[in-house]
Amino acid sequence: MSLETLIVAIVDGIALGATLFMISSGLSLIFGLMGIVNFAHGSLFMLGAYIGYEVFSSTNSLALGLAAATASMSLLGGTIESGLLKRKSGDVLGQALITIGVMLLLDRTAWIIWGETTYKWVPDSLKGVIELGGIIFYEYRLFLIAFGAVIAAAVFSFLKYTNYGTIIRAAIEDREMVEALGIDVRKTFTITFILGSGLAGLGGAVLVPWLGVYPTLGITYLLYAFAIVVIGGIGSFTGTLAASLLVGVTQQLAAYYVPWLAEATIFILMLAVLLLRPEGLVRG
Amino acid sequence: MRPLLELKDLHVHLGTLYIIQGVNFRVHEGENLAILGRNGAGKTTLLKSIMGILKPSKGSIKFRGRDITGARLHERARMGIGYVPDTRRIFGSLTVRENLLLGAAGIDKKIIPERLEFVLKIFPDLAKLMNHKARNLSGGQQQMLNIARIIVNPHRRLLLVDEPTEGLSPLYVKRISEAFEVLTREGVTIILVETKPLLVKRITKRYVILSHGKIVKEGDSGELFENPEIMRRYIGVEMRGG
Ligand SMILES: Nc1ncnc2c1ncn2[C@@H]1O[C@H](COP(=O)(O)OP(=O)(O)O)[C@@H](O)[C@H]1O
Ligand SMILES: [Mg+2]
Repeated sequence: MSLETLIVAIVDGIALGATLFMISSGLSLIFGLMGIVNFAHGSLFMLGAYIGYEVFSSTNSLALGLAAATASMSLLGGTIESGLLKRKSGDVLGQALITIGVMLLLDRTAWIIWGETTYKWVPDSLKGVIELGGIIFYEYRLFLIAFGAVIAAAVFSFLKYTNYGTIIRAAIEDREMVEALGIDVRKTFTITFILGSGLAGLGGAVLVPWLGVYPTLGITYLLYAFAIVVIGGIGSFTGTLAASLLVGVTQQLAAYYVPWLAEATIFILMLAVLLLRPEGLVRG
Repeated sequence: MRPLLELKDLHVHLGTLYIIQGVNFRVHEGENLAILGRNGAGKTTLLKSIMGILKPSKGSIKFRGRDITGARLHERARMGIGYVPDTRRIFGSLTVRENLLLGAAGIDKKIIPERLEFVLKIFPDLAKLMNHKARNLSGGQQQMLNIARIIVNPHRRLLLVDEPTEGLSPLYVKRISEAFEVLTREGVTIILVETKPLLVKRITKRYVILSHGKIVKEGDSGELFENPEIMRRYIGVEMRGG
Protein backbone atom coordinates (compact mmCIF):
# COMPACT_ATOMS: atom_id res chain seq x y z
CA MET A 1 0.00 0.00 0.00
CA SER A 2 2.27 2.75 -1.23
CA LEU A 3 1.81 6.48 -0.99
CA GLU A 4 1.81 6.56 -4.77
CA THR A 5 -1.21 4.28 -4.99
CA LEU A 6 -3.00 6.41 -2.45
CA ILE A 7 -2.36 9.64 -4.37
CA VAL A 8 -3.38 8.10 -7.69
CA ALA A 9 -6.57 6.74 -6.13
CA ILE A 10 -7.45 10.15 -4.74
CA VAL A 11 -6.78 11.91 -8.03
CA ASP A 12 -8.90 9.34 -9.88
CA GLY A 13 -11.58 9.82 -7.24
CA ILE A 14 -11.65 13.56 -7.79
CA ALA A 15 -11.89 12.98 -11.55
CA LEU A 16 -14.83 10.64 -11.01
CA GLY A 17 -16.33 13.13 -8.57
CA ALA A 18 -16.20 15.84 -11.23
CA THR A 19 -18.35 13.67 -13.49
CA LEU A 20 -20.65 12.67 -10.67
CA PHE A 21 -21.24 16.34 -9.95
CA MET A 22 -22.50 16.86 -13.51
CA ILE A 23 -25.18 14.20 -13.14
CA SER A 24 -26.08 14.93 -9.50
CA SER A 25 -26.40 18.70 -9.61
CA GLY A 26 -29.28 18.58 -12.09
CA LEU A 27 -31.04 15.82 -10.17
CA SER A 28 -30.67 17.80 -6.97
CA LEU A 29 -31.96 21.07 -8.47
CA ILE A 30 -34.94 19.37 -10.11
CA PHE A 31 -35.90 17.59 -6.92
CA GLY A 32 -35.24 20.61 -4.72
CA LEU A 33 -37.24 22.99 -6.88
CA MET A 34 -40.06 20.88 -8.27
CA GLY A 35 -40.21 17.91 -5.91
CA ILE A 36 -39.81 15.58 -8.89
CA VAL A 37 -37.75 12.44 -8.41
CA ASN A 38 -36.44 12.27 -11.95
CA PHE A 39 -35.82 8.61 -12.76
CA ALA A 40 -35.03 9.53 -16.39
CA HIS A 41 -31.98 11.51 -15.32
CA GLY A 42 -29.57 8.55 -15.57
CA SER A 43 -30.92 7.73 -19.02
CA LEU A 44 -30.09 11.25 -20.18
CA PHE A 45 -26.58 10.73 -18.81
CA MET A 46 -26.30 7.47 -20.76
CA LEU A 47 -27.82 8.86 -23.94
CA GLY A 48 -25.45 11.84 -23.71
CA ALA A 49 -22.60 9.34 -23.52
CA TYR A 50 -23.79 7.45 -26.63
CA ILE A 51 -24.32 10.62 -28.60
CA GLY A 52 -20.97 11.93 -27.42
CA TYR A 53 -19.35 8.69 -28.53
CA GLU A 54 -20.96 8.84 -31.99
CA VAL A 55 -19.83 12.42 -32.56
CA PHE A 56 -16.36 11.85 -31.05
CA SER A 57 -15.68 8.90 -33.27
CA SER A 58 -17.05 10.42 -36.46
CA THR A 59 -15.51 13.91 -36.09
CA ASN A 60 -12.52 12.99 -33.93
CA SER A 61 -13.28 16.05 -31.83
CA LEU A 62 -13.81 15.97 -28.08
CA ALA A 63 -15.32 19.46 -28.06
CA LEU A 64 -17.90 18.68 -30.75
CA GLY A 65 -18.99 15.49 -29.02
CA LEU A 66 -19.40 17.22 -25.67
CA ALA A 67 -21.33 20.07 -27.27
CA ALA A 68 -23.62 17.67 -29.16
CA ALA A 69 -24.33 15.61 -26.02
CA THR A 70 -25.09 18.72 -23.96
CA ALA A 71 -27.29 20.36 -26.59
CA SER A 72 -29.29 17.25 -27.45
CA MET A 73 -29.94 16.29 -23.82
CA SER A 74 -30.91 19.89 -22.94
CA LEU A 75 -33.42 19.77 -25.73
CA LEU A 76 -34.72 16.36 -24.69
CA GLY A 77 -34.94 17.40 -21.03
CA GLY A 78 -36.77 20.61 -21.88
CA THR A 79 -39.20 18.62 -24.01
CA ILE A 80 -39.85 16.08 -21.27
CA GLU A 81 -40.65 18.89 -18.85
CA SER A 82 -42.78 21.09 -21.06
CA GLY A 83 -44.39 18.25 -23.03
CA LEU A 84 -45.05 15.66 -20.33
CA LEU A 85 -44.44 16.82 -16.77
CA LYS A 86 -46.18 20.22 -16.99
CA ARG A 87 -49.48 18.48 -17.57
CA LYS A 88 -49.12 16.74 -14.22
CA SER A 89 -48.08 19.86 -12.35
CA GLY A 90 -48.63 19.35 -8.63
CA ASP A 91 -49.02 15.57 -8.96
CA VAL A 92 -45.66 14.42 -7.64
CA LEU A 93 -46.42 10.72 -7.91
CA GLY A 94 -47.75 11.06 -11.45
CA GLN A 95 -44.63 12.95 -12.44
CA ALA A 96 -42.33 10.32 -10.94
CA LEU A 97 -44.23 7.63 -12.87
CA ILE A 98 -43.80 9.60 -16.10
CA THR A 99 -40.06 9.82 -15.55
CA ILE A 100 -39.94 6.05 -14.95
CA GLY A 101 -41.75 5.57 -18.25
CA VAL A 102 -39.30 7.84 -20.03
CA MET A 103 -36.40 6.00 -18.42
CA LEU A 104 -37.64 2.62 -19.64
CA LEU A 105 -38.28 3.97 -23.11
CA LEU A 106 -34.87 5.63 -23.44
CA ASP A 107 -32.95 2.69 -21.99
CA ARG A 108 -34.71 0.22 -24.25
CA THR A 109 -34.20 2.39 -27.32
CA ALA A 110 -30.50 2.76 -26.55
CA TRP A 111 -30.20 -1.00 -26.11
CA ILE A 112 -31.84 -1.60 -29.49
CA ILE A 113 -29.51 0.86 -31.21
CA TRP A 114 -26.20 0.17 -29.47
CA GLY A 115 -26.63 -3.28 -27.95
CA GLU A 116 -24.42 -4.75 -25.23
CA THR A 117 -21.07 -3.48 -26.47
CA THR A 118 -19.02 -1.06 -24.42
CA TYR A 119 -17.89 1.81 -26.60
CA LYS A 120 -14.86 3.90 -25.82
CA TRP A 121 -13.02 6.65 -27.60
CA VAL A 122 -10.02 8.63 -26.39
CA PRO A 123 -8.91 11.95 -27.90
CA ASP A 124 -5.38 11.81 -29.34
CA SER A 125 -4.37 14.94 -27.50
CA LEU A 126 -5.15 13.45 -24.08
CA LYS A 127 -4.09 9.83 -24.65
CA GLY A 128 -0.85 10.00 -22.74
CA VAL A 129 0.38 10.09 -19.19
CA ILE A 130 2.15 12.77 -17.21
CA GLU A 131 4.80 12.23 -14.59
CA LEU A 132 4.58 14.57 -11.61
CA GLY A 133 6.95 14.11 -8.69
CA GLY A 134 7.71 10.57 -9.76
CA ILE A 135 4.04 9.58 -9.95
CA ILE A 136 2.35 8.75 -13.23
CA PHE A 137 -1.07 10.25 -13.98
CA TYR A 138 -3.38 9.77 -16.94
CA GLU A 139 -3.73 13.02 -18.84
CA TYR A 140 -7.43 12.51 -19.45
CA ARG A 141 -8.27 12.13 -15.77
CA LEU A 142 -6.39 15.35 -14.98
CA PHE A 143 -8.33 17.01 -17.79
CA LEU A 144 -11.56 15.75 -16.20
CA ILE A 145 -10.67 17.47 -12.94
CA ALA A 146 -9.94 20.80 -14.65
CA PHE A 147 -13.04 20.53 -16.83
CA GLY A 148 -15.21 19.63 -13.85
CA ALA A 149 -13.91 22.66 -11.98
CA VAL A 150 -14.88 24.93 -14.88
CA ILE A 151 -18.38 23.40 -15.07
CA ALA A 152 -18.89 23.65 -11.31
CA ALA A 153 -17.84 27.31 -11.43
CA ALA A 154 -20.30 27.91 -14.26
CA VAL A 155 -23.19 26.28 -12.41
CA PHE A 156 -22.28 28.18 -9.27
CA SER A 157 -22.22 31.49 -11.16
CA PHE A 158 -25.58 30.78 -12.76
CA LEU A 159 -27.16 30.07 -9.40
CA LYS A 160 -25.43 32.92 -7.61
CA TYR A 161 -25.41 35.77 -10.09
CA THR A 162 -28.42 35.44 -12.38
CA ASN A 163 -32.04 36.30 -11.64
CA TYR A 164 -33.15 32.80 -12.52
CA GLY A 165 -30.49 31.37 -10.23
CA THR A 166 -31.59 33.52 -7.30
CA ILE A 167 -35.23 32.58 -7.84
CA ILE A 168 -34.32 28.88 -8.04
CA ARG A 169 -32.32 29.03 -4.81
CA ALA A 170 -35.09 30.88 -3.01
CA ALA A 171 -37.81 28.57 -4.34
CA ILE A 172 -35.89 25.49 -3.21
CA GLU A 173 -36.17 26.95 0.30
CA ASP A 174 -39.75 28.21 0.17
CA ARG A 175 -41.56 28.18 -3.13
CA GLU A 176 -44.81 29.60 -1.76
CA MET A 177 -43.05 32.65 -0.37
CA VAL A 178 -41.32 33.32 -3.71
CA GLU A 179 -44.74 33.30 -5.36
CA ALA A 180 -46.12 35.55 -2.65
CA LEU A 181 -43.54 38.10 -3.81
CA GLY A 182 -45.11 38.07 -7.28
CA ILE A 183 -42.83 35.63 -9.07
CA ASP A 184 -44.23 32.80 -11.20
CA VAL A 185 -41.95 29.98 -10.07
CA ARG A 186 -43.30 27.60 -12.73
CA LYS A 187 -41.47 29.65 -15.33
CA THR A 188 -38.16 28.42 -13.92
CA PHE A 189 -39.10 24.75 -14.20
CA THR A 190 -38.34 24.32 -17.89
CA ILE A 191 -35.03 26.16 -17.65
CA THR A 192 -34.03 24.03 -14.68
CA PHE A 193 -34.80 20.87 -16.64
CA ILE A 194 -32.87 22.16 -19.65
CA LEU A 195 -29.88 22.99 -17.49
CA GLY A 196 -29.97 19.78 -15.44
CA SER A 197 -30.44 17.54 -18.46
CA GLY A 198 -27.68 19.29 -20.41
CA LEU A 199 -25.32 18.76 -17.48
CA ALA A 200 -26.28 15.08 -17.30
CA GLY A 201 -25.63 14.62 -21.04
CA LEU A 202 -22.31 16.41 -20.72
CA GLY A 203 -21.31 14.27 -17.73
CA GLY A 204 -22.09 11.06 -19.60
CA ALA A 205 -20.17 12.13 -22.69
CA VAL A 206 -17.12 13.35 -20.84
CA LEU A 207 -16.83 9.99 -19.08
CA VAL A 208 -16.64 7.99 -22.36
CA PRO A 209 -12.87 8.39 -22.88
CA TRP A 210 -12.25 7.02 -19.39
CA LEU A 211 -14.85 4.37 -18.63
CA GLY A 212 -16.74 4.05 -21.93
CA VAL A 213 -20.49 3.76 -22.44
CA TYR A 214 -22.58 0.60 -21.95
CA PRO A 215 -26.28 -0.19 -21.46
CA THR A 216 -26.34 -0.16 -17.64
CA LEU A 217 -24.45 3.14 -17.39
CA GLY A 218 -27.66 5.09 -16.84
CA ILE A 219 -29.10 3.10 -13.98
CA THR A 220 -25.71 2.74 -12.28
CA TYR A 221 -25.04 6.47 -12.25
CA LEU A 222 -28.64 7.31 -11.41
CA LEU A 223 -28.22 5.35 -8.18
CA TYR A 224 -24.90 7.09 -7.48
CA ALA A 225 -26.58 10.44 -8.08
CA PHE A 226 -29.47 9.60 -5.73
CA ALA A 227 -26.96 8.72 -3.04
CA ILE A 228 -25.04 11.96 -3.64
CA VAL A 229 -28.18 14.08 -3.41
CA VAL A 230 -29.07 12.43 -0.10
CA ILE A 231 -25.52 12.78 1.23
CA GLY A 232 -25.10 16.39 0.14
CA GLY A 233 -28.48 17.71 1.19
CA ILE A 234 -31.26 18.28 -1.33
CA GLY A 235 -30.98 21.37 -3.49
CA SER A 236 -27.66 22.47 -2.02
CA PHE A 237 -24.96 23.36 -4.55
CA THR A 238 -22.02 23.10 -2.16
CA GLY A 239 -23.51 19.94 -0.64
CA THR A 240 -23.81 18.27 -4.05
CA LEU A 241 -20.28 19.28 -4.98
CA ALA A 242 -18.81 18.07 -1.69
CA ALA A 243 -20.78 14.81 -1.80
CA SER A 244 -19.76 14.15 -5.43
CA LEU A 245 -16.10 14.49 -4.54
CA LEU A 246 -16.54 12.45 -1.36
CA VAL A 247 -18.32 9.66 -3.21
CA GLY A 248 -15.83 9.74 -6.10
CA VAL A 249 -12.82 9.51 -3.82
CA THR A 250 -14.38 6.89 -1.53
CA GLN A 251 -15.35 4.77 -4.51
CA GLN A 252 -11.87 4.91 -6.04
CA LEU A 253 -10.10 4.24 -2.74
CA ALA A 254 -12.34 1.24 -2.21
CA ALA A 255 -11.68 0.08 -5.77
CA TYR A 256 -7.93 0.09 -5.08
CA TYR A 257 -7.92 -1.31 -1.58
CA VAL A 258 -11.13 -3.33 -1.07
CA PRO A 259 -12.34 -4.02 -4.62
CA TRP A 260 -15.04 -6.49 -3.50
CA LEU A 261 -16.69 -3.69 -1.54
CA ALA A 262 -16.27 -0.89 -4.08
CA GLU A 263 -19.82 -0.87 -5.44
CA ALA A 264 -21.35 -0.85 -1.97
CA THR A 265 -19.26 1.90 -0.41
CA ILE A 266 -21.41 4.70 -1.78
CA PHE A 267 -24.51 3.26 -0.22
CA ILE A 268 -22.74 2.56 3.07
CA LEU A 269 -21.71 6.21 3.03
CA MET A 270 -25.30 7.22 2.31
CA LEU A 271 -26.67 5.15 5.18
CA ALA A 272 -24.07 6.62 7.52
CA VAL A 273 -25.10 10.15 6.55
CA LEU A 274 -28.78 9.28 6.89
CA LEU A 275 -28.14 8.01 10.40
CA LEU A 276 -25.83 10.77 11.57
CA ARG A 277 -26.98 13.82 9.61
CA PRO A 278 -30.35 13.12 7.99
CA GLU A 279 -30.52 16.62 6.49
CA GLY A 280 -27.32 15.98 4.51
CA LEU A 281 -23.83 17.42 4.80
CA VAL A 282 -24.71 20.98 3.86
CA ARG A 283 -27.74 23.05 4.71
CA GLY A 284 -28.93 25.29 1.83
CA MET B 1 -66.28 54.86 -2.79
CA ARG B 2 -65.15 51.47 -4.09
CA PRO B 3 -63.52 49.43 -1.33
CA LEU B 4 -59.90 48.29 -1.74
CA LEU B 5 -60.77 44.83 -0.47
CA GLU B 6 -64.12 43.18 -0.06
CA LEU B 7 -64.78 39.74 1.41
CA LYS B 8 -68.22 38.27 0.84
CA ASP B 9 -69.38 35.26 2.80
CA LEU B 10 -65.95 33.67 2.88
CA HIS B 11 -65.66 30.07 4.07
CA VAL B 12 -62.37 28.18 4.35
CA HIS B 13 -61.72 24.55 5.20
CA LEU B 14 -58.37 23.09 6.18
CA GLY B 15 -58.78 19.44 5.32
CA THR B 16 -61.85 18.39 7.22
CA LEU B 17 -61.66 21.32 9.64
CA TYR B 18 -64.08 24.17 9.07
CA ILE B 19 -61.98 27.20 9.97
CA ILE B 20 -63.44 30.38 8.43
CA GLN B 21 -67.21 30.27 8.68
CA GLY B 22 -68.66 33.09 6.64
CA VAL B 23 -66.64 36.27 6.96
CA ASN B 24 -67.74 39.59 5.43
CA PHE B 25 -65.87 42.84 5.52
CA ARG B 26 -64.72 45.79 3.47
CA VAL B 27 -61.50 47.69 3.75
CA HIS B 28 -61.27 51.12 2.16
CA GLU B 29 -58.05 52.70 1.02
CA GLY B 30 -56.15 54.20 3.96
CA GLU B 31 -58.50 52.59 6.46
CA ASN B 32 -56.15 50.19 8.21
CA LEU B 33 -57.91 47.25 9.81
CA ALA B 34 -56.93 45.23 12.86
CA ILE B 35 -57.97 41.60 13.07
CA LEU B 36 -58.12 40.46 16.69
CA GLY B 37 -58.98 37.15 18.23
CA ARG B 38 -57.73 34.38 20.43
CA ASN B 39 -55.21 31.78 19.32
CA GLY B 40 -56.80 29.44 16.84
CA ALA B 41 -59.62 31.84 15.96
CA GLY B 42 -58.64 31.67 12.27
CA LYS B 43 -56.74 34.94 11.80
CA THR B 44 -53.78 33.41 9.96
CA THR B 45 -56.09 31.27 7.87
CA LEU B 46 -58.03 34.36 6.86
CA LEU B 47 -54.90 36.27 5.79
CA LYS B 48 -53.64 33.26 3.83
CA SER B 49 -56.96 33.02 2.03
CA ILE B 50 -56.86 36.68 1.04
CA MET B 51 -53.31 36.22 -0.25
CA GLY B 52 -54.23 33.10 -2.21
CA ILE B 53 -52.15 30.59 -0.27
CA LEU B 54 -55.35 28.85 0.80
CA LYS B 55 -58.40 28.39 -1.40
CA PRO B 56 -61.78 29.28 0.07
CA SER B 57 -64.49 26.65 -0.19
CA LYS B 58 -67.16 29.32 -0.69
CA GLY B 59 -67.52 33.07 -1.03
CA SER B 60 -65.66 35.75 -2.92
CA ILE B 61 -62.74 38.13 -2.57
CA LYS B 62 -62.64 41.38 -4.50
CA PHE B 63 -59.55 43.54 -4.72
CA ARG B 64 -59.85 47.01 -6.28
CA GLY B 65 -63.14 45.98 -7.78
CA ARG B 66 -61.80 42.83 -9.41
CA ASP B 67 -62.87 39.36 -8.36
CA ILE B 68 -59.63 37.61 -7.39
CA THR B 69 -61.15 34.55 -5.74
CA GLY B 70 -59.62 32.26 -8.37
CA ALA B 71 -56.39 34.22 -8.99
CA ARG B 72 -53.09 32.50 -8.30
CA LEU B 73 -50.74 33.55 -5.53
CA HIS B 74 -48.18 35.36 -7.69
CA GLU B 75 -50.94 37.09 -9.64
CA ARG B 76 -52.40 38.57 -6.47
CA ALA B 77 -48.94 39.73 -5.44
CA ARG B 78 -48.56 41.39 -8.86
CA MET B 79 -51.90 43.14 -8.36
CA GLY B 80 -50.55 44.76 -5.22
CA ILE B 81 -51.20 42.50 -2.25
CA GLY B 82 -48.26 41.85 0.05
CA TYR B 83 -48.08 39.17 2.74
CA VAL B 84 -45.88 39.34 5.83
CA PRO B 85 -46.16 35.87 7.40
CA ASP B 86 -45.98 35.32 11.14
CA THR B 87 -43.29 32.67 10.89
CA ARG B 88 -40.59 34.74 9.26
CA ARG B 89 -40.23 32.98 6.00
CA ILE B 90 -37.16 34.83 4.83
CA PHE B 91 -34.81 32.95 2.49
CA GLY B 92 -32.10 31.92 4.94
CA SER B 93 -29.48 30.80 2.45
CA LEU B 94 -29.77 34.07 0.50
CA THR B 95 -28.18 37.33 1.52
CA VAL B 96 -30.26 40.21 2.83
CA ARG B 97 -29.71 42.00 -0.49
CA GLU B 98 -30.89 38.97 -2.47
CA ASN B 99 -33.99 38.72 -0.29
CA LEU B 100 -34.76 42.36 -0.98
CA LEU B 101 -34.13 42.06 -4.71
CA LEU B 102 -36.57 39.16 -4.93
CA GLY B 103 -39.12 41.39 -3.24
CA ALA B 104 -38.45 43.96 -5.96
CA ALA B 105 -39.02 41.44 -8.77
CA GLY B 106 -40.89 42.89 -11.68
CA ILE B 107 -40.31 46.56 -10.91
CA ASP B 108 -38.41 48.93 -13.17
CA LYS B 109 -34.66 48.27 -12.69
CA LYS B 110 -33.91 51.98 -12.64
CA ILE B 111 -35.86 52.58 -9.45
CA ILE B 112 -34.38 49.66 -7.50
CA PRO B 113 -31.61 51.78 -5.88
CA GLU B 114 -34.10 54.34 -4.64
CA ARG B 115 -36.39 51.60 -3.31
CA LEU B 116 -33.49 49.99 -1.43
CA GLU B 117 -32.71 53.40 -0.01
CA PHE B 118 -36.36 53.74 1.03
CA VAL B 119 -36.42 50.50 3.03
CA LEU B 120 -33.00 51.12 4.53
CA LYS B 121 -34.22 54.47 5.76
CA ILE B 122 -37.12 52.72 7.48
CA PHE B 123 -34.92 49.89 8.78
CA PRO B 124 -31.39 51.33 9.06
CA ASP B 125 -30.25 48.24 10.97
CA LEU B 126 -30.37 46.25 7.72
CA ALA B 127 -27.90 48.52 5.90
CA LYS B 128 -24.80 46.95 7.35
CA LEU B 129 -26.21 43.44 6.97
CA MET B 130 -26.84 43.54 3.21
CA ASN B 131 -24.25 40.90 2.36
CA HIS B 132 -24.99 38.62 5.31
CA LYS B 133 -26.92 35.41 4.91
CA ALA B 134 -30.41 36.02 6.22
CA ARG B 135 -30.34 32.95 8.45
CA ASN B 136 -27.57 34.55 10.50
CA LEU B 137 -29.74 37.54 11.44
CA SER B 138 -31.33 37.90 14.87
CA GLY B 139 -35.07 37.37 15.24
CA GLY B 140 -35.80 41.10 15.20
CA GLN B 141 -33.58 41.67 12.19
CA GLN B 142 -35.28 38.82 10.36
CA GLN B 143 -38.66 40.36 11.05
CA MET B 144 -37.49 43.69 9.66
CA LEU B 145 -36.27 41.88 6.55
CA ASN B 146 -39.59 40.02 6.38
CA ILE B 147 -41.35 43.38 6.14
CA ALA B 148 -38.69 45.17 4.09
CA ARG B 149 -38.79 42.43 1.44
CA ILE B 150 -42.46 43.21 0.83
CA ILE B 151 -42.41 47.00 0.96
CA VAL B 152 -39.33 47.40 -1.21
CA ASN B 153 -41.81 46.93 -4.02
CA PRO B 154 -43.70 50.19 -4.67
CA HIS B 155 -46.66 48.39 -6.23
CA ARG B 156 -47.95 46.94 -2.96
CA ARG B 157 -51.23 48.63 -2.11
CA LEU B 158 -52.45 46.29 0.62
CA LEU B 159 -50.30 44.61 3.26
CA LEU B 160 -51.46 41.55 5.17
CA VAL B 161 -49.33 41.50 8.29
CA ASP B 162 -49.49 38.58 10.72
CA GLU B 163 -48.39 39.23 14.31
CA PRO B 164 -45.30 41.19 13.33
CA THR B 165 -44.07 42.00 16.81
CA GLU B 166 -44.59 38.59 18.39
CA GLY B 167 -41.62 37.82 20.61
CA LEU B 168 -39.68 40.97 19.75
CA SER B 169 -38.00 43.41 22.12
CA PRO B 170 -39.55 46.88 22.62
CA LEU B 171 -36.94 48.49 20.38
CA TYR B 172 -37.95 46.35 17.42
CA VAL B 173 -41.63 46.82 18.20
CA LYS B 174 -41.06 50.58 17.98
CA ARG B 175 -39.17 50.29 14.67
CA ILE B 176 -41.86 48.15 13.13
CA SER B 177 -44.65 50.36 14.39
CA GLU B 178 -42.91 53.41 12.88
CA ALA B 179 -42.48 51.56 9.62
CA PHE B 180 -46.24 50.97 9.39
CA GLU B 181 -46.90 54.65 10.07
CA VAL B 182 -44.57 55.65 7.24
CA LEU B 183 -46.23 53.17 4.90
CA THR B 184 -49.67 54.43 5.80
CA ARG B 185 -48.60 57.98 4.96
CA GLU B 186 -47.31 56.67 1.63
CA GLY B 187 -50.77 55.38 0.82
CA VAL B 188 -50.38 51.69 1.64
CA THR B 189 -53.32 50.09 3.41
CA ILE B 190 -52.62 47.58 6.16
CA ILE B 191 -54.54 44.66 7.58
CA LEU B 192 -52.85 43.88 10.85
CA VAL B 193 -53.24 40.79 12.99
CA GLU B 194 -51.93 41.92 16.34
CA THR B 195 -52.60 41.62 20.05
CA LYS B 196 -50.63 44.60 21.37
CA PRO B 197 -53.31 47.23 22.04
CA LEU B 198 -50.97 50.19 21.63
CA LEU B 199 -49.90 49.03 18.20
CA VAL B 200 -53.50 48.43 17.18
CA LYS B 201 -54.39 51.95 18.26
CA ARG B 202 -51.45 53.60 16.53
CA ILE B 203 -51.68 51.77 13.23
CA THR B 204 -55.33 50.94 12.61
CA LYS B 205 -58.62 52.82 12.31
CA ARG B 206 -61.01 49.94 12.64
CA TYR B 207 -60.99 46.49 14.13
CA VAL B 208 -62.81 43.20 13.78
CA ILE B 209 -62.76 40.42 16.34
CA LEU B 210 -62.69 36.89 15.02
CA SER B 211 -63.91 33.98 17.10
CA HIS B 212 -64.28 30.43 15.83
CA GLY B 213 -64.03 31.67 12.26
CA LYS B 214 -66.73 34.34 12.56
CA ILE B 215 -66.62 38.07 13.13
CA VAL B 216 -68.21 38.60 16.52
CA LYS B 217 -67.54 42.30 16.99
CA GLU B 218 -66.26 45.28 15.04
CA GLY B 219 -65.74 48.97 15.58
CA ASP B 220 -63.29 51.84 15.71
CA SER B 221 -59.90 50.96 17.14
CA GLY B 222 -59.95 53.87 19.61
CA GLU B 223 -62.94 52.24 21.28
CA LEU B 224 -60.72 49.38 22.44
CA PHE B 225 -58.99 51.81 24.76
CA GLU B 226 -62.07 53.54 26.02
CA ASN B 227 -63.70 50.23 26.69
CA PRO B 228 -61.13 47.72 27.96
CA GLU B 229 -63.93 45.28 28.71
CA ILE B 230 -64.02 44.40 24.98
CA MET B 231 -60.47 43.14 24.90
CA ARG B 232 -60.93 41.25 28.14
CA ARG B 233 -64.13 39.63 27.10
CA TYR B 234 -63.33 38.64 23.54
CA ILE B 235 -59.61 38.15 23.57
CA GLY B 236 -58.65 37.67 27.18
CA VAL B 237 -56.17 40.55 27.08
CA GLU B 238 -55.87 42.90 30.04
CA MET B 239 -55.49 46.50 28.90
CA ARG B 240 -52.88 48.41 30.78
CA GLY B 241 -51.85 51.47 28.88
CA GLY B 242 -50.18 49.47 26.14
N1 LIG C 1 -52.24 23.30 8.59
C1 LIG C 1 -53.27 23.11 9.42
N2 LIG C 1 -53.95 21.94 9.40
C2 LIG C 1 -54.99 21.74 10.21
N3 LIG C 1 -55.43 22.62 11.09
C3 LIG C 1 -54.83 23.81 11.15
C4 LIG C 1 -53.70 24.11 10.32
N4 LIG C 1 -53.31 25.37 10.60
C5 LIG C 1 -54.13 25.80 11.57
N5 LIG C 1 -55.05 24.88 11.90
C6 LIG C 1 -56.12 25.04 12.85
O1 LIG C 1 -56.97 26.02 12.31
C7 LIG C 1 -57.47 26.86 13.31
C8 LIG C 1 -57.19 28.30 12.97
O2 LIG C 1 -55.82 28.49 12.93
P1 LIG C 1 -55.15 29.89 12.63
O3 LIG C 1 -55.76 30.48 11.42
O4 LIG C 1 -53.68 29.69 12.62
O5 LIG C 1 -55.58 30.74 13.91
P2 LIG C 1 -54.94 32.05 14.50
O6 LIG C 1 -53.99 32.64 13.51
O7 LIG C 1 -56.10 32.93 14.78
O8 LIG C 1 -54.25 31.66 15.77
C9 LIG C 1 -56.82 26.41 14.60
O9 LIG C 1 -57.76 25.62 15.30
C10 LIG C 1 -55.66 25.57 14.18
O10 LIG C 1 -55.41 24.57 15.12
MG1 LIG D 1 -51.98 33.05 13.66
